Amino acid sequence: MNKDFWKLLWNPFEKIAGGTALGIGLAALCCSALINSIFGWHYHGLLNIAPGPESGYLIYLGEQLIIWLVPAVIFFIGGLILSSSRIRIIDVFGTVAFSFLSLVPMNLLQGLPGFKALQEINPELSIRELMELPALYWGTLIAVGLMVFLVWTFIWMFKALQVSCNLKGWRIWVVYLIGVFIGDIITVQLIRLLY
Amino acid sequence: MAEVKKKLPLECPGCERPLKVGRLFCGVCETEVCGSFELPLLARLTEKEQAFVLEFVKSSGSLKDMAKTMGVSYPTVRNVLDDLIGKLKNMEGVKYE
Repeated sequence: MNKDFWKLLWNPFEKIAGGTALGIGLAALCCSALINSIFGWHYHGLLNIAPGPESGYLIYLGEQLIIWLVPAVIFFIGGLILSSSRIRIIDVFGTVAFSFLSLVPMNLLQGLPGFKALQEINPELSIRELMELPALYWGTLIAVGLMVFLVWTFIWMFKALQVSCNLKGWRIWVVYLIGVFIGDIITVQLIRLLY
Repeated sequence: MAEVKKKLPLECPGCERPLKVGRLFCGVCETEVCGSFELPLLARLTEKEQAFVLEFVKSSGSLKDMAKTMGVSYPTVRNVLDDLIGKLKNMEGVKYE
């Protein structure tokens, strides 16, 4: 793995944007929706993933489309207001969609029995009893793996905004933080409408 | 002996102010011209920026073609161009001392 590979892993949008990023991103969102429909994990918001009611594939797909479109729209509006460059909507939407590619392995990890067992641990057990459960250790290890992919997604979202809107300094941080945190609030409300 | 490729220095190594041209000479008839001349705007760009401008001209200004030639995405090329435009505007506004 040479220097170019790691460079691409850090910021794929120097090479990939526009329609190509959009195509790969949409395929990733559909994949995530399928994986979540098998394992029963719902996206209740941009930052909120948990088990939920049994639902059809379209509900899971709807969740994925909402967590993509909401920050993408916020980034696009932020770019129009704060960027000095002429930005293309396909670059913004495409790069944001692509940034969710790293959620596919994360969704797969969530389906592992070790992680599910972590969710099923009785919280009323004493600390000594908890420490004797193998599920605690395996589940924790998987949870660390999940965090790596989740952080990776947020790094790619930042890079998507940086490249697609040519924002720098305080401007990129303002748009990014609004896109993530206000975006989470908006996605929670929109996803509720799906049920 | 192979010719050594030299970079044109743009900044004074002592005080980091922009350098001017003080002497030009003809390699054929050995005529020498002395004075104080400002470097052209494009010559004050870094080597990488000058290469970008040349590529831009050769692509007839098509950012799409440039992206294909350079092997990068369209917004990457557009961002470099926009940053270069900003730099040139600043350079045009700065007076030589």
